[in-house]
Amino acid sequence: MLKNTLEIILITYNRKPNLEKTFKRLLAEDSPVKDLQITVLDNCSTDGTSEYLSDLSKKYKNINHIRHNRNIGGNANIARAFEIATKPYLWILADDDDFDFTDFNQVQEALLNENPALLIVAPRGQNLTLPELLRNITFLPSVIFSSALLTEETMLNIHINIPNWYPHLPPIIKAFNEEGKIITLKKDFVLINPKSDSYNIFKKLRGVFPEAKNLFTHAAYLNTISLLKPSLRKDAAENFQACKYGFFKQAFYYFKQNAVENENCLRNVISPMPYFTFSQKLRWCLAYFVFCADYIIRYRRFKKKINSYKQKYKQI
Amino acid sequence: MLKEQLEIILITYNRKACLEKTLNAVLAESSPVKDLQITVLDNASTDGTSEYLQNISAQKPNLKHIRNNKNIGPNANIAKIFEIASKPYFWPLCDDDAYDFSSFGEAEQAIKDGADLIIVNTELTKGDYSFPNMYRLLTFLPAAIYKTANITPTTLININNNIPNWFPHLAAVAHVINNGGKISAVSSDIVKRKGENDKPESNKKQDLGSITLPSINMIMPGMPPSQKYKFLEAGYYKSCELIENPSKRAQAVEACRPGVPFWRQIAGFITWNNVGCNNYLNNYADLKSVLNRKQKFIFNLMYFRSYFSGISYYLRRKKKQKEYDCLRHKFLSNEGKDA
Repeated sequence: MLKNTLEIILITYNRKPNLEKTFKRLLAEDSPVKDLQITVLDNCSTDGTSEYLSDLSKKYKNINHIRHNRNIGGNANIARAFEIATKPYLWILADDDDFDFTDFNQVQEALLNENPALLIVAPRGQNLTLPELLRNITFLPSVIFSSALLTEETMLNIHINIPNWYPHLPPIIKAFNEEGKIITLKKDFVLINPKSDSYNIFKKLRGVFPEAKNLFTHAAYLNTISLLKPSLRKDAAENFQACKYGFFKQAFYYFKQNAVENENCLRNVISPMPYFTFSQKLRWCLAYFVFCADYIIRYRRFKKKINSYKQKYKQI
Repeated sequence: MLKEQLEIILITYNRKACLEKTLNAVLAESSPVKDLQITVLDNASTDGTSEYLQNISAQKPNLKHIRNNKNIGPNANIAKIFEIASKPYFWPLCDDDAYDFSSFGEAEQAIKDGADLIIVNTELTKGDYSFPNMYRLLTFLPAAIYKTANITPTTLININNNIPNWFPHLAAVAHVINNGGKISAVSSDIVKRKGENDKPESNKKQDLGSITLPSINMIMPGMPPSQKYKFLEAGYYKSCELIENPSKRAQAVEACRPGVPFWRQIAGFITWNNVGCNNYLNNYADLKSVLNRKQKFIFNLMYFRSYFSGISYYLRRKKKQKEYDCLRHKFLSNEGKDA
């Protein structure tokens, strides 16, 4: 029975219209997911979601509503979802995505018959290499985790990874390291919403820890990759951005973005270095020197970009 | 009524004997604290503490027992304290300290006066709770009573982001420093880091009074290198970045070891980084982002000194490596001898 093996955990904060849409989809009569146990981690929202959820949990017995005392932030909420899991398999969903439940039998068969460590439910591509797969998996609802992966070590790593944007990557990396069974389906059951706003919230808050403010997604990705085995880490670091250029050019664009968005933060330059191979370190340093020369020559153009970015996202 | 003003939140994991001692001290008949609401955050212990706590919570109505589903680690448990607090003031406690409630009346008076931070232990700095030494003092978690009105969403985010840095509660302290809050202290210590019968070897605590080796209890083979090679001082320097005023930040950084000149502290940091952490680059990057211009100049000097002092450097390093390995072996072999 799927009821006893899989559970769903939803993460919300102040998005009532999107949440209503997702629940319409999840609890519709056609959906194969309406009988599963659904817990909702409500991060102390203030726009009426709490009342809506308490009404829902009274109507439907399989919905459990947990409201935190205070707003702990999005990443800590994801870590809390891993702590709460009780059943053998766990699927974490966000509140602003679309679902496509046709042929859901594939998921059921894979979970019940083959007992994988990871089931990838939205690979967004076919015949993907390791770095492409890892990049696509950073989208949280695209993976179903087995709770055998959640040992003490991985729980520690998940909480250590809260300031790095991907706290759900350590159990995935554990499955890759130990060569557990990983099944990727050929169809996307969850579709990304390209207009989601969650990554820009930190830039708007004042008084936030400078390390968190100035750390952007690629640097966080490289930091979490440090958990991989060295043989796998090599391939994953070569292609850490989603483009077809080589490592040198990727590093160059990384430094450009660092200068515009993060005030040329030195930590973003140095922190990925211990995890590279020797040739990658060489190319990284060369790219940094070339970027510095470029920055000095074209300072005025960079300044314009920086000012326009600041007007968009920072409070001045 | 003190009951409506103050609450106590305790953290435990697999320390049944120590926990029994603390609860006996806190719930004794003569303690002024026995009627307050006490919540115990039990990090999924496996040695019988959960059953013990369930028995006690059935007997005493003011004791609440929350058992985490899984073991999330000590730092995440500390962050949970700041999320759960509900009354106007709360006091976080650990399970391995000694108590002396003779001057608790002063704390009550300070609560009535509306202080933002009430310092309850000055052992690490020998009575000095003025600004730079206070930051070092408060690495010890039970050393202060906090006000819940100071826990804004940004401070909670900072606390959660400070989990890898060994001292997540310093974010709340930094908030008080940044916004100029009222700080008061008590004349004699209410909490003591070790009792009379504790051995010095079993003092493996997570604050800046104990040995500054990389925290050996918490190292597991599957950890990321950024955490394996981060020792308590490195975590302290990183959490100094939370202070916004640059001159105050510089003072807090230099107060890491009071009485020792700054160049010597940096030299010690560099040798520990080379010997114990295999010359881990990120420790340097983290330090550099926190330092002043003057301090960066000193840092660069000591860094180059470690490389240009020639062959003697490598010989000294080998010697220190042997000492470090012996100390580590001693530390690990004493693990079973906790009180």
